[in-house]
Amino acid sequence: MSSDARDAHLHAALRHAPDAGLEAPAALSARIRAAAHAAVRPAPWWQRWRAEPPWRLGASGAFATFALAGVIGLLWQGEPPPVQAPEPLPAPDAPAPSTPPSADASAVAAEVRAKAAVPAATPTPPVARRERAPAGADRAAPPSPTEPPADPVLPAPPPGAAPAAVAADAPVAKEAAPATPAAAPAPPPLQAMTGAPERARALGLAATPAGAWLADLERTVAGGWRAEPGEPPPLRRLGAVGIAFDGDRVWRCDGEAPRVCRSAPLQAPAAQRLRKALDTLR
Amino acid sequence: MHEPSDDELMRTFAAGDAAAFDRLYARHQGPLYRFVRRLLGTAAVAQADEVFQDTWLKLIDGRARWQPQGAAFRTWLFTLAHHRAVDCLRRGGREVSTTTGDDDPEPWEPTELETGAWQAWPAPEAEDRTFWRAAGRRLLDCLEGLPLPQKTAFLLQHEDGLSVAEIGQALGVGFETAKTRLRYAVAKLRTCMGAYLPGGQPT
Repeated sequence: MSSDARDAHLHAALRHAPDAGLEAPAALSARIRAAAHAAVRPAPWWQRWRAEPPWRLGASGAFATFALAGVIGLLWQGEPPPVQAPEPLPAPDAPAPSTPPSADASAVAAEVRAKAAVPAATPTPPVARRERAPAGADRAAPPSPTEPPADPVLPAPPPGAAPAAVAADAPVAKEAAPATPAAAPAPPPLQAMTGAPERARALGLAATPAGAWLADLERTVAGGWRAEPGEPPPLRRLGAVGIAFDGDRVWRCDGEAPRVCRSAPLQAPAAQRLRKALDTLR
Repeated sequence: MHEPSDDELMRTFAAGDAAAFDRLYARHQGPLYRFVRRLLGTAAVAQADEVFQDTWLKLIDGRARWQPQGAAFRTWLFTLAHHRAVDCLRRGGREVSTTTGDDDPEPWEPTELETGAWQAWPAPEAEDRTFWRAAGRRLLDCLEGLPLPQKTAFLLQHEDGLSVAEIGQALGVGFETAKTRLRYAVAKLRTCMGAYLPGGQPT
């Protein structure tokens, strides 16, 4: 008998087995097909605009932005500028209002720095924690028993790296300008203000252990997110964010109605580290 | 009309044609789903959907890197599913051995008495649906008792039509090891089935 020949009786029995006509459930098939279609379909321009502002879209995005600005400018062309009411003359005995142009610029810069101070404060606790970790610390190393369990241990950054938590959700942000963690917080790069801390603040998780965990997650996933149109596994809530670990993938669902879910692959050591850190947030 | 091969559909999908994936999926989803369900058995049937989905998502994620490389698409697909199923069983805390001690000095062989009832089975082409349906039910029960490597080899050959060489490729073993696992699987299943159906009559 040829080694490739099937056993005729067993083959017949298998053909008549109760599950011989079994197929994947329709909902499961729909989810899989949707994932395949989403994987090969480019996102519409407005979604790409929202996910990546023009300064990240590269040449085509910049061109589209300037083209739009040009069209708007053309619409205004020929119209007189808005008329401004003349400034009232100061009273003779009142000091003249002196607002030199440089003061305006410094006021604006101060406002920017004030806004920037909030996201800069977000990574400070984990940055201070990073400074205690030795350089090249194992990413999967558990927190020391003497440390409070509230904040997850984050790996020590390479020398000269930025506080990656502030810009961890986009690949371009990995090349953000370096900042000195121990120095007074300098204004972060512009793209950092629209990164993970901004979203975290919008979701009510700024400057919290949960926010730091989400920033760690974003850094670990490093842009590997993929849209998930189907039903997610049971979620663990971190504010308005739902998290689930599913095999070798992690799920993140933002918002409630509508809820937008994504998933990304995770190596086993990273998944174990993130799970442990998430458990300490209970 | 030329029916595109699996390789052609996979290449087309990798190039961005989602409809090619739909055809691939329609072609293989049934056999793959049955393979996963039978492989996991009743103990892990709840994870069958997850394993099945993971397999296809792995294929979708790896479409750009896929190369035929001598392995048929079907072999590659079932290999992915086998690996996912083993991972699932291990995550569930089950001891999963991917070897079966096939190199035992005294391999198991059924006795003449145990195989006697087998000889009374009707011919496979006989139109006795009642008998074969009962035999099919019993076979699924007997499959539960097989070690995973033998169960995998049996299902890949008898359900999915893979050759011994392709089975070896899917399981990452040599030709002779695949052949031995098949032989053991068939012998044990015959004994199990023969004992259930003495004299060839369904009970």
